[in-house]
Amino acid sequence: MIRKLWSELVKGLTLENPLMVLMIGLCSALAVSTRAENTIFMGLAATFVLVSSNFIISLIKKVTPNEIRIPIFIVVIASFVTIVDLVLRAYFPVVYSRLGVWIPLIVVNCIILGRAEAFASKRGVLESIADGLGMGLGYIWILFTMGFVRELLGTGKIVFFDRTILSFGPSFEPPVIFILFPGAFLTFGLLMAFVNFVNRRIKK
Amino acid sequence: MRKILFLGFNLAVICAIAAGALSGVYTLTRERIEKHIWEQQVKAARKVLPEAKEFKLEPRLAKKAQKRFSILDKIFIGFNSKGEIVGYAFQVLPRGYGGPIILMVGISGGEVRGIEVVDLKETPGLGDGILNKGWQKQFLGRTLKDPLEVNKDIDAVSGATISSKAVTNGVKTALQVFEKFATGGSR
Repeated sequence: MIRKLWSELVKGLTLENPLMVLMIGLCSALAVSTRAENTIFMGLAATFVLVSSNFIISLIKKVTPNEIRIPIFIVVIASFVTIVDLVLRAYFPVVYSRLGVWIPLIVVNCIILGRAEAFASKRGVLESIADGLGMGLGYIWILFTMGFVRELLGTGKIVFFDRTILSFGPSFEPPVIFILFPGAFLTFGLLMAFVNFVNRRIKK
Repeated sequence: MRKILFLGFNLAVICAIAAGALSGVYTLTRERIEKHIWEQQVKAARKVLPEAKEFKLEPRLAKKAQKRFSILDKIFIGFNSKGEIVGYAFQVLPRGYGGPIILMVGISGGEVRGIEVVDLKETPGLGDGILNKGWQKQFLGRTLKDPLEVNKDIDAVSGATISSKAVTNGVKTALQVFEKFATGGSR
């Protein structure tokens, strides 16, 4: 049982990574990965919604009529997104103002509805929580890696909570393209090539 | 028919539970959220109008002014410790490159006293150059007698002409609102 749960969790990090392999939830990943600090909050918010909605949806799967399952999933997901939105606004206003529209937009993040439909609506509660957590962590590590690379190359330094933790120094002229949209695609493509290369090795 | 009623009922129950949970969270967080918004605005207003000790929101005046100046958002009146009006702070929302820029402009006696960018969605590394205090300085002391146009009397942030134009437009609008609607004190 534990091994089963573990494998459901680990698959989200590598072989079934939502961003790199399933290729869902890309919009938000490309948009918020301009700063490493942002990606952590965005990732945590999405993970919270993912785990909670997977939990509730697997819990009520027996009383969910098949015909209206999608509206029910949406209601559950939207509720959790609104909770995250309100809590961030009340307790982390600075973070909220920086992530702005991307927090409410978690509701249309395909990872969450996708996991509800493909996994949580068919499996047990514990497995669904493990799946949600794995997918969430898979989302976080890719987002963070992208944010780290883009911020470091695009601005020449990494800033966490107004403190510079890593810097190329003033002589480095940062290629601004990395924090613009083309940089998002470049970073994403290269990272995807790398992750899929490693995945292929694992499978062999 | 029965099937449809059953499905409708089922969905209604789910929605009712969700609504209940959300209204609970909303009630718990509302006070803090409103306090943050107010504090953030007063903080910005104090920066652009340092001589004011207290601020009062003027929603009715703002509504009237919005008919002519659509990017105007809020009007704050600044009072000194004796309760006299010392100036106005206008929150304007000029359109930048990545959406509206939330800009606070402090005006006293028809003259810009200070500007503060409260929030922006401009491109990091380019458009957010408008946050630079040194760049913002050129707006101080401006009146409606100045042309207030980028590349004329206002220098643009390099690589961010649209953002610079937005801020300039916001400052100009605030001055115009002041001219038309502000009354009392050191007007």
